[in-house]
Amino acid sequence: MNKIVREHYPASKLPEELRPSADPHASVTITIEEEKKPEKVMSLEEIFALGGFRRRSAEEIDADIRQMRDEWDD
Amino acid sequence: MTEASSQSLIYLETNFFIKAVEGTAETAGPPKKLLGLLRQRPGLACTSELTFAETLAPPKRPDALPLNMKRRVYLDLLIWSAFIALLPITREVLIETADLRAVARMKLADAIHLVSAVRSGCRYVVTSDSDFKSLPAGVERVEPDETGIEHILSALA
Repeated sequence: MNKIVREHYPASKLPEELRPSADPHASVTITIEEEKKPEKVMSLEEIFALGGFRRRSAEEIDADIRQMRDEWDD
Repeated sequence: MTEASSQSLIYLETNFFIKAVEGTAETAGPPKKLLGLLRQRPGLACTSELTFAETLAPPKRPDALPLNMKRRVYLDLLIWSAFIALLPITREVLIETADLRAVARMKLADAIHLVSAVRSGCRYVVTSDSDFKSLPAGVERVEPDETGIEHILSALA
């Protein structure tokens, strides 16, 4: 993955939506990484048609997530 | 990829995605219907990047969707399909979870989801988690079931 890091970069040279403050003299550290998209992305239809596993009920899914979140806070 | 900093209308919590992908036909139906619509309107919905960690958690049941398939499916759905805005877990989000948990009984993960939804300006939080009982004014909790999803679809019509 291609990656560029620039320290002390003038924030004023960034697009407005990426500036962290209104300070025209601010400097920032920017890291830019190129995203590598996979050659084939599954469509919603392909994702929904997946098989080979046991599908869970709403209650089972809710219980599994609750257990996982409880473990975080224990 | 969908703009993560843009204001979204609908916050989709982890259980919404798991129900769509791994749920029984009855469970998956409504979330699949909403995802079908959202694909036509990129950026309308968002989720925290925490959703990656939760959807990709190693399966505890031996007959569950295998981890290698989970990774492929959820990354394709959440990242590469490019119609769900992904919200990073920033320092500001984490600080706000502390403020939230000082006044509301919430698990850390729940608080990260809720703070992310509020900061993104979402009107609807789609979740079946009962911990999302009291939400800030202007934010409505919607169940990812037929009634809840139809409610959102009507609002979007």
